[in-house]
Amino acid sequence: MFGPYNIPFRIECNDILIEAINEDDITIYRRKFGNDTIEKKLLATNRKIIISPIKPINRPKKLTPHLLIEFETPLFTEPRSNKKIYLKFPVEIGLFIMGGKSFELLDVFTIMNQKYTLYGDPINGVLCKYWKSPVENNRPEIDLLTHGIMELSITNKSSTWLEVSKVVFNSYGMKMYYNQQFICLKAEMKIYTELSAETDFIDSALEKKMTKSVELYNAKKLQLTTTKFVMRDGI
Amino acid sequence: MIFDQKIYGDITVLDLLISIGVFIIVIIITNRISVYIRRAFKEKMTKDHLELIVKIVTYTIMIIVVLSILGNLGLNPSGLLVAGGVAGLVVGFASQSLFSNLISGLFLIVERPIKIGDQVEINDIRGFVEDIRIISTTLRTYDGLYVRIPNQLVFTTSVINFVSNIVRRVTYVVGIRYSDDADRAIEIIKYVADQEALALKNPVPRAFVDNFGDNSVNINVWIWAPASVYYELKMKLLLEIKKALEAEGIEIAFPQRVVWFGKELENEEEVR
Repeated sequence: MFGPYNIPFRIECNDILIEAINEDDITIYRRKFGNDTIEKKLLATNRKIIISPIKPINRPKKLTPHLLIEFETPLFTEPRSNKKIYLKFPVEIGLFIMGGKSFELLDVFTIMNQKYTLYGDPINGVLCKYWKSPVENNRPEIDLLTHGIMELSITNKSSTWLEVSKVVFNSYGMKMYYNQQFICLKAEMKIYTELSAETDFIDSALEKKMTKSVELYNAKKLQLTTTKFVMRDGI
Repeated sequence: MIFDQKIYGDITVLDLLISIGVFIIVIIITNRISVYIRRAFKEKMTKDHLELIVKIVTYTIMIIVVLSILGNLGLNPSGLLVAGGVAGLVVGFASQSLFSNLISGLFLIVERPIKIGDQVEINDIRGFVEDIRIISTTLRTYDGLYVRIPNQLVFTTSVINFVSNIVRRVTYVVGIRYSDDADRAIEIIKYVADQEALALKNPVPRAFVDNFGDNSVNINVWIWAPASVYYELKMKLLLEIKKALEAEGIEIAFPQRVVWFGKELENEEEVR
């Protein structure tokens, strides 16, 4: 489903219908998912629409750039160790209209249930998009339209055993890659104490010849100095 | 020529007109600069920070230009301060309130208890902060009224900022009938909260029997929401809770009174 499409086109996949048709000098774009229907008229014809997985922070509202993933099973990490685990993370589907070299977001939707949570306390805490994921040793099976696979490298830099039950990311640094089988990204978590850790994304795919997803919010464009997140309220 | 006519000292009418012209041009340029700054940084910083930067740039340019123009007109600003000492005292006393508003405005900008766009309550007036100026703060009330509050009042009165913290608690009291299953009602309320995206997972939503009212068992419901969508959630969720409870046969109780008639009792006793 992901990739560029020349207008006109029509896609029906599970309960999703996406179509863009030419009518005279305009293009009519329609998207249906359940009771959620959207129609837009584009003052252009014969353009391309790119369907791409995007960061899961836009629906139902763009309230926060942070993503908290809670582990279904807590992990114990041994002192001064590094292990890789695999998590599932939610994705949203973005549709971008292309004209020349520029593109603009036309529509974004998700078929996943949405939830927010607070990391930390109500005064100094951080609002996060919430997701609960199983922890796997190998790449889990996923539904391409709903989930991606995150390869998370966990480094325990402390000298004690530590329990990890969640990880929080700043999604501005999120670099997703996709092909027709799965969506993926790489991330790292450096644990310093039982209360603090640092997380970041790594701009790399799990396999060769994967396509980089379109970035709706680019850290460089937003002039952010860092894409890391420092967890200070527990791990 | 009228332009060469001297007003005072060596300053001619032409000098005065040039100064006025320069002042007008600078105002236009300053406006253009502020529009450019707003456009360039709109997506890169909050409205509040942006407005602060615009104000600093605008006031700095205006102060420099005014001082330059005064210099060109042969007026030494420092000399003016000394010469106008007595007059300044008189004006100072007269404008005491203006001065305290100005100082309060500066402290408000530095301390920042409120920001542009925040939802606040100041002196029993609720609304959105539209602007924080040097002398006054303007609010747009929820019913769309423009309210100007002197900064001295903002600084000295208690201010409630509804969105200063990132999250806020929605509280309901749901009264169900005594004949209904309170445990089931609590279960349903928690389920409704769990299904709602804007109801936070953590802090955990709570529902518990708070008291036995005259007409109902009162269940307190505490649900945390992002502060920016507090009212949206508050308006939406209560109706959903009512619908979900009613779908399970649990009804919201209303005041009722059972009246016993003495005559009826007597009749019943006679029948017996």
